[in-house]
Amino acid sequence: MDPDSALIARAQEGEPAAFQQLFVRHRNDVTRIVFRMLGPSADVEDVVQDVFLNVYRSLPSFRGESKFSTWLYRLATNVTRMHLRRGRSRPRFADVEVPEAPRDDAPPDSPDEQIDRAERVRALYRLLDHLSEKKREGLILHDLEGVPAKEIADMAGIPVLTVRTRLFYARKELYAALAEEPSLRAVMDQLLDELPGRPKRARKRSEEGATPV
Amino acid sequence: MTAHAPKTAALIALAEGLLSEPGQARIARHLAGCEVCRRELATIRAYEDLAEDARRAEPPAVDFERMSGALAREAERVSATIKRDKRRSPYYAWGALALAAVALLGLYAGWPSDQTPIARRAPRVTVEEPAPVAQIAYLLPVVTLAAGDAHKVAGQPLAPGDTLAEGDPLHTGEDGVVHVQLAEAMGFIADARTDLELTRARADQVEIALSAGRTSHTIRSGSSYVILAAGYTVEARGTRFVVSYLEDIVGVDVAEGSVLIRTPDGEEIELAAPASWRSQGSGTLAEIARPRAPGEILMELRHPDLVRWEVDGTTVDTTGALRLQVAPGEHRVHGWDARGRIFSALVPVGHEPVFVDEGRLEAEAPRIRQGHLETADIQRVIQTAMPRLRQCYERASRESTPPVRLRIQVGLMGEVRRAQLVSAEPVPNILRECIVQRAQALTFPPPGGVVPPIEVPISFVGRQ
Repeated sequence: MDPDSALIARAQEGEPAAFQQLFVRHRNDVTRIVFRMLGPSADVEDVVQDVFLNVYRSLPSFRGESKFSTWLYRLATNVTRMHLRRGRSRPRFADVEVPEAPRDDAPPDSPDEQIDRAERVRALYRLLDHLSEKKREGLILHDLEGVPAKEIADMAGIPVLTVRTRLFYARKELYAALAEEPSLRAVMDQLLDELPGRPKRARKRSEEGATPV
Repeated sequence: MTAHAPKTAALIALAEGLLSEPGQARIARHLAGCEVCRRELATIRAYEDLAEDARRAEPPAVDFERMSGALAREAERVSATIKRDKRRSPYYAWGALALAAVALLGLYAGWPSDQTPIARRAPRVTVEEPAPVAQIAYLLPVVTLAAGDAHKVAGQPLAPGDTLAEGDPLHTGEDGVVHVQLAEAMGFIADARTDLELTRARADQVEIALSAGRTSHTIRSGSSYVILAAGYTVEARGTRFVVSYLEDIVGVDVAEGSVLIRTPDGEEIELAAPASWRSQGSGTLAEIARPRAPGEILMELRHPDLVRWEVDGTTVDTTGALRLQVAPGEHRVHGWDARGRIFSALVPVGHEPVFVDEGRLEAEAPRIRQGHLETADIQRVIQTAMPRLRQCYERASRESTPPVRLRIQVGLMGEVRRAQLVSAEPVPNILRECIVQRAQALTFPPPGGVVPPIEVPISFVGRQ
């Protein structure tokens, strides 16, 4: 049984406190999904509020056919998509500059590394923005948010096969963009050097010492 | 160095740690001599690093207190509307639900703008704040010709006038042929021995997944119209063309306009009329584990429905067929179809190439079982629902309406998976939507398996 069902029933009876409790229970999850979909942006707070306004308005018609969390994710991604569409008419900076991978002389979470990581994340989202809306969403939900393909299919109302195909082509496009990215050239060369006979996660490269910035 | 398209699927499997140790070793041997694949793998890892950074990124601190005022006001407003509607007649409650459902559906599924059911004296809650999404207009595909063995779900024969919906499969047998009109001047013909699924049927997007056979298409210029076959994507630019998937070869013949073909390797081929194109038979196969190691034997797996394969713990996502090298011995092969059903076979491998087709890959538990619904149970559920269905009629109009048939697909747990109203004559949208919506809320006894759709004739007679 859906753990939220009692709260949903109370909200559908018109009890304002139940809406508030649903908000408190799910606001962190919604914030995270909005943040994942938007990427680093100052608009997260506004979009989260928009999501919950829409949740409140749509809750009377929620019939429990899908899990509440799936329904909520679908609503959150749709509201975020609309926000992104509106933003697309605004001018954006198109340059992509991916900073170097972690420096081995820096502690794992030093302020420098945090800044670098934030910049890498921004760069990734700039590359993701070149994908089509559907591919971008699928890739973010699956690869960054960890939503299984089956659940994405349920959310979008499409076959799982379509989700998988879309994910594959989204990755192919992104790989092509990454391969062409000049600021990644040094990292790529280093990754290439490690390849034969060492099929381990690339993250291990920091153990061998990367070129300091 | 051999120049070829990078084996992205296998490299992703490697990067994600899905390959067994022998599999990793085989790929490593290939990588040593293949710059294309090495570069692709380096890119995959660079992406994985960036994705890991993104996964670790924390959302900014959000001031939930700041938004609590606006949300509390909205909660009060929605609650007041709910209570007001409850105090009034049940019609209002249904109206509120119907209208809120429209807003919700508009938000996450799209809804034809011309079919929005508007309840009389509609509550204001959803009218004031329309859902901020683009509306989706669904097509209503109609069968215009059906001959020979032609059917859709559960062997249900197709006849002219039948309507199709998104997700409907369509099958023609030895002597079957079906013509489907999607919209004005737009449609397709499925020739004999064709299996397809209409995965998208929208005004701005049509998508057909072709598992086997031959289809001819006529489309309007500028439509988004895609056919998927064996990992190939055929994107029509217009306006007349044929797509076939016969004996593992995907074929495209363009009579008018052009199409864009995307291969499973991501290659794009633009084909302008008049032109024909065929995929290489074996080129449609995904391959893992190359180059061949001494003593290893070729194993080829084919099943048109399977989209994911697992052989001895190595998983590959590819549609229809897979080719790999295996050591002699017994190998456990699993496959999954798009609906998640598991198929399996235990394959003994000697010293000759092995070919495993759909006859040997059997559906494994949970099997799709045939279920059963007692006629008396169906009648009881429908009879109980009849007063509410009659309310639809009373809200829609008090005039006689043409006889309609309510077609209901019941799921494994007795839930209604799909409800559709079928009629030879026009039915008011408000009536159609109301009945479909209420039918979707019905619950039947669990049939314990798959059952054919239930057809319920409904006839409303006008009051004097």
